Amino acid sequence: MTKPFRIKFRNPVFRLTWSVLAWLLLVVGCQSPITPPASPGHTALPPTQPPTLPVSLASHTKTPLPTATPSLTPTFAPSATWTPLPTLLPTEAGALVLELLQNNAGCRLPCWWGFTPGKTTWEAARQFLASFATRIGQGGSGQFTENGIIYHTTNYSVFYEVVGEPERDETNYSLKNETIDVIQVGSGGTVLNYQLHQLLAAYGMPTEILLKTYTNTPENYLPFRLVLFYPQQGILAYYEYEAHKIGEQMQSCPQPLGPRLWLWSPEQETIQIADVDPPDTNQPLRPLEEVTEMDLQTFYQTFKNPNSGVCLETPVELWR
Amino acid sequence: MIGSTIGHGATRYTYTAARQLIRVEKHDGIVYQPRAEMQYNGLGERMRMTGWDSGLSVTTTYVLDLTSRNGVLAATSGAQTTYYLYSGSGPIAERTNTWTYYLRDGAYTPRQMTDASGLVTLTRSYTPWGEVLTQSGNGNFTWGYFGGLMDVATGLIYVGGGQYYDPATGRFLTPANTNGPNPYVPWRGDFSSAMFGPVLLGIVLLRRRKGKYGKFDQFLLMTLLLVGLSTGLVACAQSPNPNGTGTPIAQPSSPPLTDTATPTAPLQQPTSMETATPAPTQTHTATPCPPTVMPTPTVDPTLLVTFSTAGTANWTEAEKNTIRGAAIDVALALSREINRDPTNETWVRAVGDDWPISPTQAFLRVYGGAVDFQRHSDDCTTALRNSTPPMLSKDGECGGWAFTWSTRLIWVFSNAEPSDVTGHPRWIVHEMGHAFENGTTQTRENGSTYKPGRDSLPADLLTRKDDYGFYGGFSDWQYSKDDADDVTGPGEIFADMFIGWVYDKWQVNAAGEIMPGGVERSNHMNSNMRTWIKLAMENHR
Repeated sequence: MTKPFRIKFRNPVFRLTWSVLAWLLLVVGCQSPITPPASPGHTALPPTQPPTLPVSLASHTKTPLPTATPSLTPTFAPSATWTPLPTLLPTEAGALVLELLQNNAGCRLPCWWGFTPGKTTWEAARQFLASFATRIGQGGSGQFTENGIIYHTTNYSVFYEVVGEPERDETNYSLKNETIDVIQVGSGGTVLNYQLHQLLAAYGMPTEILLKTYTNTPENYLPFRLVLFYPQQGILAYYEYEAHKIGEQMQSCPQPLGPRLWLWSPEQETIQIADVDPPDTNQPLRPLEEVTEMDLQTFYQTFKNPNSGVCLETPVELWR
Repeated sequence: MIGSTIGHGATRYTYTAARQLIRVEKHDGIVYQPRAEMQYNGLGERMRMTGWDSGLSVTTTYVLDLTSRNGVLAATSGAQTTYYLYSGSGPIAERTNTWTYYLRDGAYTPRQMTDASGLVTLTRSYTPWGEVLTQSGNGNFTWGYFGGLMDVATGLIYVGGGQYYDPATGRFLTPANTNGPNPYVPWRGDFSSAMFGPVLLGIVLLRRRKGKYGKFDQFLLMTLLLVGLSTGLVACAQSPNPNGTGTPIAQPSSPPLTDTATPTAPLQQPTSMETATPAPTQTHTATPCPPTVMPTPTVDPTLLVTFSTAGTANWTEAEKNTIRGAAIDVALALSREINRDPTNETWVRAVGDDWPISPTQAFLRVYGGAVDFQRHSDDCTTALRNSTPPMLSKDGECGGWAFTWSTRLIWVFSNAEPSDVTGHPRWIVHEMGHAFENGTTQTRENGSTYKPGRDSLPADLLTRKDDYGFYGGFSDWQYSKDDADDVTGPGEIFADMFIGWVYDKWQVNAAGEIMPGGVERSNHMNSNMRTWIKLAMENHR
């Protein structure tokens, strides 16, 4: 399908544009709740706003059963299934990824690359992702019942190369009945647009900010983890910086690094801190106000400025 | 099927032909709605249960201690695992995020719950039949009347052995498949033994009345009284309490096949029996038999690790206990891996070990003996510059906490404070992963050596980006930042994967499902550890 286009448009800008347009045409053609994925020959005009993808009919919220250990049930997948389906040349794939990382297909979080949690079907996303992914791996699967409806769950990781980056990057898509439920974006995919000051400027003051650090580790590296939680917007950003022990304070200054992002539909899903930071870690995440002298508002006003030069400080004694 | 009157609130129980309860349903006025489904292993012990509430299901999978009948060691729902700690007489604490302790009465029924500081957070009282009468505070008891497992979804109490008690009716639903507190079979112990004394006494008295043996009867009478009393007490101790007020879950089953220990909560917590702090027991209620306290067979951690010092360093008891606990975790994982495949019996016996292999045997064979942890008063840089051979050049520097020299020697430097050791038991497991790998070293035909663990790692796994495949980040579930770019990287990645293998913990998504990276690391370890264990065992033959 793509070969004639390559011959016709030797200019890489045109090739990129056509690649994006082809994808948009493809996914727009899938706008039916239970319609099978669009065929390769499907054509449509490109959307002028973030694409709308097939919508799952299911709408529900989690209500944990009050037992000793409430949660959903994972089923271990015995093996990963790798599906390498590259259809673009590496240079084309690299350019397309760069375009997506820069513009996010024109949509706002929690939409990612045009995929909207709770709406986009995996089949539609997969067809697009497979055109440039270096591989797609399947994780564990499970099943649960909610309001009498049985839901099948699974997750896929899509690996891709970022031009200029030494290591591949990964985005994980958690599915509920074949619809994307939660998207987990690796830090390599967020460095362009979601550094701390960028996220604050674009999405406002978080509902909750948590952090944790360590005063001593087996190597000369002290991690400083910072979580910005926007439950109403379906966004959780998990930054990891380096900390330094300065006197009786642990200090960390925001660095030009991207966070790991968790994205979900706030109307259809609930993500909690414990879902992204397992309880059995050596230090729990603790609220910003408890462990620093900053409140949310001060943090927001300070760090949305990329040139604030301010560092976060928290007493060493709290983290021993 | 057994059911009450069909209509709103009626309960329907479904059993297998083997009388195992597999489904509980409640009538909502229109139809029966599922409340719970249970699955059992071949021994009739419940392995899994799915509960429903408002249409949402939650499945919990249990890890059982089948040798000591302590019951549930851990319960996992989604990504959340709760670990249970036992004394010889039943559960005394549990840990999901933090430890909570039970304060029990003399019938082993938890009455209060405390946090780690001893503050009472929950208080509960019961009717004589075990229904909750009053409750105050926050939280929920996992264990209830008889020390049984309380099933919130059904209102039943699971007392082990596939048996359930309904506190609403004061009746057990089924007879036990093993000895248990069961009104259907009031005395499941050695009934004849219990009756031996009284019967003999009766005979003697009858004969004495006839005067046949004269004064000699007094001696015989006393002897038989003692014999009768002792055998009766033995029967009493070996049997569950007929009224269910004994210790059903702590009953020993058949003689243990292997030694065992309660797996640790993998986090800075007491990891061996000797470090566990039993919760205080509260007032006693009348019981016909004295409570049975059967010791749980344990791995003796003093056989697994030894402690030495260099310079002015000292080990604290807390450090020792943490290291012993980590060693127990490794021992359990090794024996579990070996014993899960019956075809291993041949080579286990070939290297001179028993089958099934005990955790202690497995550990000592794999490591070639106890592993010595040597505490140094020097820091990493000084110790390794001055070591023989020197592991650092004169201007080299390091900030590590430990250096694993061989299969059986691990140096711990002053860089690691006692609180670091006690706060990071998984770091101990990481170092034991290095020691394990040293024990698998192979020699090529050209005389060079290699370590199959690190050499076998596929390129995809030589990364730590975004904690790829690991359950947690650096200083939580990884203890190195090294990766493929460093000469030592693959060895460090292997040691961190050893942690994942010991605790079977890998990267999960927000729903608790294992992610592809976790699948990849898990598969790699699960498919190779058996081979590497064999190599280590044969190296130490």
